[in-house]
Amino acid sequence: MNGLQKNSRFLRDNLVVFIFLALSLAALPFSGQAGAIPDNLMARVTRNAFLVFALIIPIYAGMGINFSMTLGAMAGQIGLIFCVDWNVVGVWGLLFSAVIGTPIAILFGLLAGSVLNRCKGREMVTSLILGFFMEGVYQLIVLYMFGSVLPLRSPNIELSRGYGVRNILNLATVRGSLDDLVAIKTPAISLGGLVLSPVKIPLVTIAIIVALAFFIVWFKKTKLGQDMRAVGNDMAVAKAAGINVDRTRIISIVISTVLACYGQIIFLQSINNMMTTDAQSQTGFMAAAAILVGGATASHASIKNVLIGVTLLHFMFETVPNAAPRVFGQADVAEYFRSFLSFGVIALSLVLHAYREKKKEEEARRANRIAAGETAAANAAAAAEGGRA
Amino acid sequence: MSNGNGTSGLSTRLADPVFRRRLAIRAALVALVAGIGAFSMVVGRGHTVVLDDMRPKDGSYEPVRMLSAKLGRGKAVELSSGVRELVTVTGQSPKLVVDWMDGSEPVSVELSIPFKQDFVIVYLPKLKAGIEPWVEPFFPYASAKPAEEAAPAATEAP
Amino acid sequence: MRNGNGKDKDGFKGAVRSFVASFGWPRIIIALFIVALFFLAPAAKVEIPSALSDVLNRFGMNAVLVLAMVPMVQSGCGLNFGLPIGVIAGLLGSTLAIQVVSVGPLVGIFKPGLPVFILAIILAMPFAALFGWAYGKLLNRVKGDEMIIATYVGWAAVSFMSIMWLILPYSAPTMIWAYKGYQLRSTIAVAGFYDKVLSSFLAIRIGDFVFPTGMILFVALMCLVVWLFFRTKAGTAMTAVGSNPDYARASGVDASRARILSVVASCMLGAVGIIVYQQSYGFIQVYNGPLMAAFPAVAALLIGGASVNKASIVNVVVGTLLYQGMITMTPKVINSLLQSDMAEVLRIIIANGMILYALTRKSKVAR
Repeated sequence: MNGLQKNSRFLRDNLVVFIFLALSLAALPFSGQAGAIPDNLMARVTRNAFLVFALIIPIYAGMGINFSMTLGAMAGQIGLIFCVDWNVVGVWGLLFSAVIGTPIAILFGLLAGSVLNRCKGREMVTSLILGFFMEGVYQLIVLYMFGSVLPLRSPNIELSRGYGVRNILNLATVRGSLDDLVAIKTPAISLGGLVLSPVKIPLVTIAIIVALAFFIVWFKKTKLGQDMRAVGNDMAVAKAAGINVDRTRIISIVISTVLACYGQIIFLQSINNMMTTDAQSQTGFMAAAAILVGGATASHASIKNVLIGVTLLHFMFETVPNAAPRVFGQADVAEYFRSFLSFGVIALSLVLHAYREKKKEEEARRANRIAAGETAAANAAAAAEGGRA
Repeated sequence: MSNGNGTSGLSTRLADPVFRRRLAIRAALVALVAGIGAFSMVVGRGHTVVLDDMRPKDGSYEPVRMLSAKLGRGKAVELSSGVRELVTVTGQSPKLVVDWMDGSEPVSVELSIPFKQDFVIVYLPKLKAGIEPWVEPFFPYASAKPAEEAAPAATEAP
Repeated sequence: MRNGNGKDKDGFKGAVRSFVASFGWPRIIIALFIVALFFLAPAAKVEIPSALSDVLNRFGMNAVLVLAMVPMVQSGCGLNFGLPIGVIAGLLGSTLAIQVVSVGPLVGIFKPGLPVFILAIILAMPFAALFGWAYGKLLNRVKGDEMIIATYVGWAAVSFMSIMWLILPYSAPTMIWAYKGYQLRSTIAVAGFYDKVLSSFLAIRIGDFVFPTGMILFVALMCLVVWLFFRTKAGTAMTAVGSNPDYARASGVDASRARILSVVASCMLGAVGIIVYQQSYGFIQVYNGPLMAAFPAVAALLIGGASVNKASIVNVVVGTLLYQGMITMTPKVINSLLQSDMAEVLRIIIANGMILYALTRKSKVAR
């Protein structure tokens, strides 16, 4: 492959990344308040990165984008409800939420995994619908079971009708507890005419994200990790090699769900209030957009994709919604631009992936036919030889 | 190793050392996680302390004119006679340090708050005068009071 | 013929068992659930005549949208989660109709009522055809992941159109914000244009019970059109491509063309469907209105007995009746009986549960 071909292949494989980068950079001059961008970006990236990591393992195991990571987010939220109810504060509150959320996340993960095993080939759309379904179950738990079947201690988070959790849960008791644990602040920097506001760097949060990255690298080297890769490449071959395919797939979903649970807790601790029934609705789709913007596909995702993706996606969120109104003259355009770019990147990425998969399949089939043809010709020639001899 | 009907029941599996080790590791993990949870819950349990410097209804003691109180690692709070202040603390045994601001020795006591109790009230004048009890549970919401059971959660009329 | 247990395999028990097996337990449960709701209605102080009217009304409103699913299921493209694309075509048609009738070139030519309704449909068709063709070409290149791609392409289209709704120069006074003077409203009343043109046509009124004859007749007409279509050469080719692609290819059918045609048909039906919905509901919902349009339609189709690769008109009618019956009756009855508002949560669980059930079934040829 010569240089030009290599470059064009690089461009094509990372098409989505380049489009997003170009778009965000184009929007940058129009966006105003550019000085606040580094600080906002740091906050957004540290808030979301953990959640995006949760998508890697299922992609690795061949399950596509796990839209039902939302179930893990819901488990984390249930943990937080208990935490606020029992008034466990600060980092201890987060640990407590994680401990409560873990068994719930495992249970949800087992459920999701078994459902997804029954629809091989359609995992992504099923996981999406499963997410919606479980939102109904979650609402049942949060709006009807808390306070009646599940004990709720504090009257101030209960709805006035006597059961169910309030619409908005105030997270002041745990707000920032992870971020502020050990944080440094850079000074304000002046670049030419632009003043960059001080950037708060939450060291503990970053350390946790780095630890997760190492965990994933280690995991991929374990036997279970290798099994998942085998299942992800070809389920039939993996089965023939003696791997319990169904069990491996379920485990990948359980891990993803538990990571989503912790990720959602990290996400929510950097937000003041939690919309009790809605906080998880954007989770799966934002994480998917992030990982896909970073160049991942439905069958291949790396840590690089996660980090590039979450940074780029949120850079886009910082620049485009501020720039769009100026370009189009209407303030309301911003919101729709965000949605369009987020939905669009997922759609584009899925389309490119499916298109490439189809091409690969066709080429493989063609190669098989040629090989078969050659073998047939060779056999015929050998038979002719043998006949003559 | 098999039992009568050829299936692998729990008893057969328990005899397998690999299974036993796995079970032990998993049980230990569960215990560890549960332990972290319980530990967080106890250590991180937040309480709100109502610092009271008011004249009681029955006039049995006088409020303190001015004082400064510090709970746990929080900032010192100033109270004058007739006011109450809310301070949040973490943990069940915060140290209360009060400076009566009248030349006498600052008092340092350790509050012990029952785990389940969200709010307690400290009557600072009582503490100064040595009247027991100067700390008791506090119920900001009438419905949380265990003594007088509020009516069960009423379902609303259509 | 009896087996060892003495059970009568043929005859009544056998018939019941095979009926249950092919109809599926979830549907039977839902049907029984709705019947139970009707029995409970008097106890919950729910008036049956008006409840029945509601159910029929909602059936008429939604049936064509559910019908829009059929072509794509039959041609093997799966459930059309990209229904919003067809709906957008319908929105373009209806908004354009109001624009040209109020302010634009056709002022005074079209009288309010049925003519405007038909104009809306006519204006929507070219958009539906264009969108359907593009969407179909896209789906042809992504065999396998159609449903999730359809979902996100549909959502991206809705967001893109939302930007368009903000920019396009609509100027009819009933469609824009009065004090601003320039932006398209999020809900546009069709009153004065084609509000209830079908629903009130030949409507039968008996006390509180209203039978929206016109709308039901129109739905029947659309069903007839679809039924006839599937008897044409193009229609049978479509079904062949979906149920037996190899046979279809061997018979010389161009599978890609058939699939694109099914997508176009689906979008057109979707456009008509949303306009029928609008005339009953009374409003055009733009911006994020179409976002979730596909899901109730998918759920209804599946409840009616369809699967991911096979759907019939019977499925549409039965499914829409059951689904709309359930979501109409459940709030009325349960809310007043249990003094709670669990109905919305139940709807989410049942509708999505139904879709999950269909997605996790092994591909069988169901009725």
